[in-house]
Amino acid sequence: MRRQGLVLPVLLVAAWQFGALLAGAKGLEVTSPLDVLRGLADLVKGGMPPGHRLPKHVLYSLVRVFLGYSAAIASGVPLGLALGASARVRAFIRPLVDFFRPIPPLAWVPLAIPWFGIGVTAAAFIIFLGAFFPLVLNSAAGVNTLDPVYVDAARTLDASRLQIWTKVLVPGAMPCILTGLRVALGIAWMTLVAAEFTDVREGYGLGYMVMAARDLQRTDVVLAGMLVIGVTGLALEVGLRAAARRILRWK
Amino acid sequence: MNHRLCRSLALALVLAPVAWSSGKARAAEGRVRLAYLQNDLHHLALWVALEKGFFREEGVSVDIAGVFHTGAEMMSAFEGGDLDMAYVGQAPATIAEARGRVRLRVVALVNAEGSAVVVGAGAPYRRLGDLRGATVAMPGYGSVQDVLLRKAMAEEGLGPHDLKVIVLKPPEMISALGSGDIRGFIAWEPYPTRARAQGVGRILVASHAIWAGHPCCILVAAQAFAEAHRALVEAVRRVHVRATGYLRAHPEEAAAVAVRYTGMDEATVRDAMKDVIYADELSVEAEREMVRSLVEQQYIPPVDPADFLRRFLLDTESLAP
Amino acid sequence: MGAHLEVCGLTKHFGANAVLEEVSLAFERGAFVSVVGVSGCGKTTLLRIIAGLEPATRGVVKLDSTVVTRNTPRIGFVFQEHALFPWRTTLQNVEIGLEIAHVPRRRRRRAAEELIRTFGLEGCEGKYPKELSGGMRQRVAIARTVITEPELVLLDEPFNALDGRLRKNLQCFLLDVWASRRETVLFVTHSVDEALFMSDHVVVLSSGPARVIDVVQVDLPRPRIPWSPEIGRLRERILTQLEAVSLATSPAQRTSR
Repeated sequence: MRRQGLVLPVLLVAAWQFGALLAGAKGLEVTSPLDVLRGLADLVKGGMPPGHRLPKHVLYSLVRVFLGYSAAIASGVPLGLALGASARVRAFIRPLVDFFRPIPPLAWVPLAIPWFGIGVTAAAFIIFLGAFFPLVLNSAAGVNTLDPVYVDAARTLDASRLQIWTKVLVPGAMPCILTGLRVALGIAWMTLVAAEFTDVREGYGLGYMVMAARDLQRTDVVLAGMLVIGVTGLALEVGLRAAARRILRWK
Repeated sequence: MNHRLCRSLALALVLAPVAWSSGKARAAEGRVRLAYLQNDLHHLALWVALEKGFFREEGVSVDIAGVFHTGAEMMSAFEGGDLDMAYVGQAPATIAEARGRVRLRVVALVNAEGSAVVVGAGAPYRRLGDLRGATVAMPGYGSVQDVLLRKAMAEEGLGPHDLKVIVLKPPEMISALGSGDIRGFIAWEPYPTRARAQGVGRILVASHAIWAGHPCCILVAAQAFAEAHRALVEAVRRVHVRATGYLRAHPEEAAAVAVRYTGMDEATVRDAMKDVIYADELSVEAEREMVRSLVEQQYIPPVDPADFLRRFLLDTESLAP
Repeated sequence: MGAHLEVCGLTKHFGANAVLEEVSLAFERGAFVSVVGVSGCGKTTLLRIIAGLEPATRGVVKLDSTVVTRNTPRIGFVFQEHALFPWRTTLQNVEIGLEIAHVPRRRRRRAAEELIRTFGLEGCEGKYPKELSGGMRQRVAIARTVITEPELVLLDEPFNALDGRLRKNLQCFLLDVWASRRETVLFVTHSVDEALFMSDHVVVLSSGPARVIDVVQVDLPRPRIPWSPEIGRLRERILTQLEAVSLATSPAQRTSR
């Protein structure tokens, strides 16, 4: 199955290269796959902006994602679990969640900069906003959709409230929580790149890198950068999926 | 079935770039799609021309097709065929042309100088060299300010990594300077003057001290548009020359126009205008130096400035000796 | 008297709906009691109230003369759908009662392993419920319940999903477990045959709302022969009563549940 999945991409890339060559012959400038590979080499050797090499860009982006994502997990999962378990919590909190959720994270940038300055914290905040809501909603669903018989079983085994949480609700909600983690990670990664287009004090980040390439009209580097962003995002997703498979091996 | 799908996709991919570029020279009769940069006091001549109706008098209908934050964004719009002419920084336009992303022709100069390096109001720096190791912001890679900054760094003996250069939008530079996130910035007027007026910053180096008489913004036209509607381009140039002359003769009136377009108070605007040279004639030597700087800073591939300019400038008659 | 389990006038209303009406029972320690009745008559509700999972509208439950109102380690429950925690292995499921009671790991591991061995589940320690057969799952469920040595074990139609040979095996299995431990057992089933095969007493409930119609003593030695005349007589008695219940309740009443 993996081999079949490669056929179409390879064909598309080949057609693209061919098209670029044709266009070049007509005097039009079209970036080809080979150009993109050269751009990739440039990112590693020379860096974009010049002197800022690729590995450090990836590192900074990962750090920003990690900070925002962790904060979202630490606050979103418990809140979601509480929402799912308690009708009272739901009554108070749900309207707030429903109000803020549709606001795109990037819309918060004009507030984030005055609040947090132009460093890592502002970007992490934007990412946090993107990752937070899927985590809340999926965690709540995890508790809601859990068969109540498991809670009953725990009660008959004389479990305390805390034990019901730790031994039944959290493990039982885990499949939904993990789904929330996956969705949130995808959104976090996408939000990150856009959040890094400007106001990056450290001078490093994949979004920043792509923006600099755009400013210097290096389309080949822009596309190479997009390739790196896509591959890194994919690696994160695959990693999370593997972890989920391990945690949910009981399913 | 699979085969046919693959072939059509391949065909579509091949034809797409061709179809894209050729379908875009669609200017309606007598209309020009024009763009300028937001809050850039250098483009005052255009604002004056719009307010005084100079375009109408020449029989030119102007569509402001965009107000951009950076020159690079504007280049993308040219690439997409959405602009006919624009007021833009020389450096982004040259880079886009040199990299083959656009085909533009320089119609006239818009201004020279009019930028400055700003540091904190109470900071002890006396020269750029004192900022070694500090974080300094500029509006974007490949902007005129970027070129100026690197020139200044070279003159001060600072290597490219001796300053932490980052990109910020000019409106954010002032607050970032105030909060200490950056130690200095370089931007076009009115931002330096504004920083001074707000008590946040002071001018460390004005751009004329870095490179006297350096060209800053230019009026460009898409090459296809210039070829198809030369008369229209000439009309716009005439308007620009007239407006430039007008604002030099009537600075107070021009300042009032600038207040409307920048949202700043008149005193600050008047102050800022003093640092900008509004002129419409390009200088050969300055143009060559700009191309040379961009090559030296590796922003464009090596090219002979004379050859490049022969293509890039609309007509060599507009060049002052 | 010395009754171990006492249910006094237990009544349960869900809003306007009366599910249990004045149910009173008393049984000695170590008795194996079955409760039979038509489907949906309230047997499960009765069990849940005794277990402390739900409150009664009126009436009390007493265990050894102490009133029971909420869940207690003295009462264990085996659910119809085994309710094994899917994310725990067999070993982890069996030991969870001791885990909740904060028994140190080594001791509870050993207790769980021994129980697993006794119940014929060797080799299943590391398996998850999804990997076990229906019969095995119920055995694990019973193990999970009895490991904490409750005085009273409630079972809610635990063998419903099984039939034939497998069901028979599990019935014998449960009787063995009970014989060696002698807890009081309250066993809900809709199979009269099962009730007669296993219990000392059979409680017959009517429906709409549930009332105690009869408590049948089964003074026969085990293992019982299902086709013996004594069993046959008792079966007839119970079935007649259940039949009368079905006819007495009108279709409207029966479907109002």
